[in-house]
Amino acid sequence: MSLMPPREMEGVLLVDKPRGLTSHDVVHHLRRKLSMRKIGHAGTLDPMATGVLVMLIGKATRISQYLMSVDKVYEGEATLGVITDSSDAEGEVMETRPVPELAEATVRAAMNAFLGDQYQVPPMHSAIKIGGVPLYKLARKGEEVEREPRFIRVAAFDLLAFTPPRLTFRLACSKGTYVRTVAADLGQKLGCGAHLSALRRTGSGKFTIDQCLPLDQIEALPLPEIERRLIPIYEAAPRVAL
Amino acid sequence: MNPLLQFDSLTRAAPPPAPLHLAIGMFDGVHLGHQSVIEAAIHSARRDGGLAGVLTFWPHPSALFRPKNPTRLLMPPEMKRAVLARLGLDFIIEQEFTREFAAVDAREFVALLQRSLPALAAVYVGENWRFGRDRAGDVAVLIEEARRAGVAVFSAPRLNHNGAPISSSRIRELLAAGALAEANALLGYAYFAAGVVERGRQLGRTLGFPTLNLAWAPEFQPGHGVYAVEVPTGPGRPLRGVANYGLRPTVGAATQPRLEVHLLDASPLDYGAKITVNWLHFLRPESKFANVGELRAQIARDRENALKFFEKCPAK
Repeated sequence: MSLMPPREMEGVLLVDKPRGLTSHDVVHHLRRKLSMRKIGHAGTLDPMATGVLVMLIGKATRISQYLMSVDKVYEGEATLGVITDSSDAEGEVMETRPVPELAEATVRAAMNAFLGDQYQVPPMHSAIKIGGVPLYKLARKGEEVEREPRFIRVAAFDLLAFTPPRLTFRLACSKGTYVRTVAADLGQKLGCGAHLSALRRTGSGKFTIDQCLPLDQIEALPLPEIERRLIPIYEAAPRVAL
Repeated sequence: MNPLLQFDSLTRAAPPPAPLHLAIGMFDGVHLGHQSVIEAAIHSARRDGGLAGVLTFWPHPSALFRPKNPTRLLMPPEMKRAVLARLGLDFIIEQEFTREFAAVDAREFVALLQRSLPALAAVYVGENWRFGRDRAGDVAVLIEEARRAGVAVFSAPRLNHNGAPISSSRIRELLAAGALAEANALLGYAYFAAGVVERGRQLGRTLGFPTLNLAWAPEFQPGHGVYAVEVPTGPGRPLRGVANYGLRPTVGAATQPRLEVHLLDASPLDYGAKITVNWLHFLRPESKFANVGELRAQIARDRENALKFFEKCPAK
């Protein structure tokens, strides 16, 4: 028998998160699969969202703040004319409005106005804490409090398809950008309101969706196969300085 | 590529009708940090079929605010223009930094830009850029005003090199200390002098080392010393050389430092030629020798050291 303790896995595992699970659910699944506790993720995806979830295994949890701070790319679908309290499909419908005749050029022009640096007011339905209380808990009680706008950058906001009332887009943005808020704001700009009806993260920093494996496939893999898929910490960490 | 359009003030700027992506800044030295701001503008312009430009200023604002001790520019406007032109910009606006311009309220600045450039789509600045009266405008003010006006803002983070931010003042310090390699690393290209070859005192010739004397009087003076340099002469390999920049203390000190280039390769250059001298490597600081013989021996050693340098990293 070896006196050495069994070596723990370490590295970054790229998962395509299924719809319906919270990001922490994915952590939980992997903890069971790998029989280890030290597992985290670098950047929450809402339960309804799918796509790139950067999982940190073992010592890789240490570089979480570096991997969290990178830019993200999303593909999403906004549904015009339906406004929900959480700005996504999970929330309660607050209002429905008719969708006006919109030329694609009008939509593109409205989307262009989102480019660049800006301050975004985070939604009430978010995990941001004010005075130690998550906003969504206040929101559930029907309270609304003032939120500090946060600096974000939108590097690209492209129209992929427009079949009213549905509008699919690609959004490249900085960390901490609430995509559902962007979708709701776009709806407001177009005059009819909107909510985010589907969301898929296709990139997180240098990691892209085609490097990710769906969670159920990962769970079906033998452990050495999973270990082979781990990206070593030194490769995953972004270049901090030149 | 279209030729670079030049405008000598905002009010006279008339770029062709297309969405304009404008990088704004003093950009003294056009170092890597400046280049990242400017390249963001070029990238976006190519992406949406617009034009990329730079709005820059002369003289340095410090010439107004502390006229007794203004910041010495790394580059006069024509050198800055030459470096900017290489980046692939469509236009450049060189706005005189007058008292009137300095007095513009930060909240009015975007409106002022739009009056001259109605097709302004986006502005690109460094994250620490300040503007307007009393430097009251920062990126947060710019974002607020620009978004209201329908203009996008992209602020670039400061870039670090060896753990410290890249800045024009850091490059000045490095050049003054003869740390040419590091200065060049922060610039992203070789520091250079540009000027016309003048008739000198024919002293080098009598020493056996003929030199080209360059009319070049930069505001900021790099460290006096001897450097390995190259002189591009059109396509093909540049000429290799050894340059002395300084007061020539051994042969009768000058009051203004001069740049003299002794070429290691056969030269077709003559008086009146307009040349650029790229500084590649610091060989030694300037020093005074007891007599001309010692100086001649040292120059021979400088020549050898320069040749050794070029052997290690051949001129491109």
